[in-house]
Amino acid sequence: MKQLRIETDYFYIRKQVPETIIVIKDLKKVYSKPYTEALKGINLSISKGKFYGLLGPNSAGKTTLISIICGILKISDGSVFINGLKINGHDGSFKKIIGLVPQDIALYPSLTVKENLQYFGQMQGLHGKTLKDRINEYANAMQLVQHLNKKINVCSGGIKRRANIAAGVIHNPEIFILDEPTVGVDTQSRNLIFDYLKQKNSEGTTILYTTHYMEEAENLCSIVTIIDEGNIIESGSPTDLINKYSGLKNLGEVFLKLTGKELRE
Amino acid sequence: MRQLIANIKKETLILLRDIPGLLILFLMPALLIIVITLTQENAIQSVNKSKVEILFINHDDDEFGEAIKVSLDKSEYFEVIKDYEGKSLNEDIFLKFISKGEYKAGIIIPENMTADIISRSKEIIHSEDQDFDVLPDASMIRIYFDPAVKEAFRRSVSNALDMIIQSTEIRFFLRCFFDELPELIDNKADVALKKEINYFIQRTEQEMNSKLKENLGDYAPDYISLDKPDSMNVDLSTILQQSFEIDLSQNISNLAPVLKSYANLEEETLQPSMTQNNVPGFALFAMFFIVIPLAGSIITEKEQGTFTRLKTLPVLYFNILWGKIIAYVVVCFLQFFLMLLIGMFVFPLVFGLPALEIGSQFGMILLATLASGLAAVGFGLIVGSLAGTHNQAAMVGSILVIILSALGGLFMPVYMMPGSLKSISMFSPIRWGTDVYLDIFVRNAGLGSIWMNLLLLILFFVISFVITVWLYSRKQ
Repeated sequence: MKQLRIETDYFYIRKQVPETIIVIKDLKKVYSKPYTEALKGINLSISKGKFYGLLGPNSAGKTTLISIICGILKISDGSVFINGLKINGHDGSFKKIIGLVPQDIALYPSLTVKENLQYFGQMQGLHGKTLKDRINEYANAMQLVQHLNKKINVCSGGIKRRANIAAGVIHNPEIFILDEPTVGVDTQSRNLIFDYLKQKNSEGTTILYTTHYMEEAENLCSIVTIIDEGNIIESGSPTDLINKYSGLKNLGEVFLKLTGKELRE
Repeated sequence: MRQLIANIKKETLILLRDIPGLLILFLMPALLIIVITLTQENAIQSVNKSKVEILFINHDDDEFGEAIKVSLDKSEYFEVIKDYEGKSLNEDIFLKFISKGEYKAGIIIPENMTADIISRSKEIIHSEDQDFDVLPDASMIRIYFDPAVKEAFRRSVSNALDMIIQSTEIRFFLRCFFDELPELIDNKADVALKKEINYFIQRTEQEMNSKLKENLGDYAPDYISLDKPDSMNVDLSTILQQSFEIDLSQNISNLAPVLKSYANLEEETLQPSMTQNNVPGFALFAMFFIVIPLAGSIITEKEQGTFTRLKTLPVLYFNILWGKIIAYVVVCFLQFFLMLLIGMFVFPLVFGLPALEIGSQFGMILLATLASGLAAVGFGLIVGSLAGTHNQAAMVGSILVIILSALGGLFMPVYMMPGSLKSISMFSPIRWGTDVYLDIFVRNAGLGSIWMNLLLLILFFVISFVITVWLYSRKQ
């Protein structure tokens, strides 16, 4: 009965917001060792083509939420729909429309930049000329052309970050999911990444972006959701949120007001 | 000083809270020392205490065969097996057991051995021509060995059997000699007479020369010697002593001739050697060491986030695992062929050792390598899935490989291990693999003989694979 209700809710949400691409309903995640309620009933819908920011202090549940959306973690309770596909007990087909850029440099250090892109492209089902063209496209977009034959373990931090993004989205997915993609990156590389993401977003790609840099979120995201201790505590456009809390000048101040100044784990 | 104490405290706390690390530090070396010490201890025990089971067929049904059996029974080295399922062993079952390695050695005493040995003893005692005719195999004592036993073991058992056979031979010869002594003395009576004649001739000779000197003075001729046979210069006891010694040194070992060979039921007989015994064990040892790079690769993926990224891809974990499995099984094949090349070419050409002969069962060799490679890769998958860090995987993996190899008979043959350790060794995949290769290399065995161990190796892989997939799904 509960499952039926959730699916009915999904169709209700889709009916109200037809362009919704991610629907999260009463999502809970519990870790057993040590017992932790990481997500305590998240409800969220993300529309197609939005640049969506997911903000929160450490241990708020951001990475857990992203991991569930990407199929890395199992759901304890509730449901997640990606483009109409329910990911509980999924067959993996929803994975074709998402591209994750994890926080870590998730590349093989002893392989070259090109070999890494080839491998992850092949894993996404690309091959032959399509794969070759896609590698060239992303090598140009991320300015990796000169570094394609360098092994990852000898590349600079900026090249690794850009290659990490290229490997995550080489299959041109409908949804980019980026978990703090600019950590440890210089201003030049950061600007390149921002420009690229803005361009993809303008072409219709939905972007789910987590970051601890509030100015990034304020500049890039059309909607931000702030979560803390497994719950959504605020959601809206950066401008609306700043206006909502009078006297606060930017998203960073809103964030601190909502999540407090106490240090987190 | 305070900084030093703080550092010591920090390191102690880190160590105490690293449970897997503590297990590695204490449990693994403890296991290793137990296994290695038990195997080594038993090497000494096997010489002094443990009994080697030896199959025994006595066609003689007379004193000599019985005397050999009694000596074997009394020996602390052997346990004599005469019966199978309540019946006396026949030669077919005897050869089958030894050729398949169920027993490591056996001895067959031929018919009429007692009569033959008495006849030959008499021949030695009485006859000057003591070269015996070459006997057919069936008239010789036959000692068979499992082709897969190590040379040191074969030599040790062979020497012990030689001693028992020779001491029994000497007892039979001496008994025969003393039985024949009165007749021998009678025969030598003419020698005593000749001695008297010799003495008489000597006295005559001396008296004659003395009288010639006395009568003719300076005109007497030089001392005149009378002709006499050489034997007359030797007394009876010397003749007997010489005869006895010559007979013993030249002919005693021919009384009960022994034929030693390896039991082999196949038409093609493979000659086992140290190379053939060692290559399989070390090939398996090398293959299982694939645990280090394979587990390392899994842990690197987990640590560096590539594993997380792989989980977001529209590809089944099975496919990712199979990519690893196939690549590493190919490496196992290459390792095995490298070991074969060393055995076949480097040992004989560089070190002068016997070349490895691999028989004619090439299909079985490929099958065995596939099964062993899969088992080795399965082992690597489990270690990689359970270990948390590179160091854990490297230490647990390498120590486990050494333990499994020791249990598999790499350092000490399984048949020389004590009963409890022998039972534990049945759970070592390295033993299964080694046994398969030994069966093929030294017994020329086909699928009918090796299927059980092949099945165990493949089952080990399947179980490892299932556990790895289960651990993967559990971590979600």
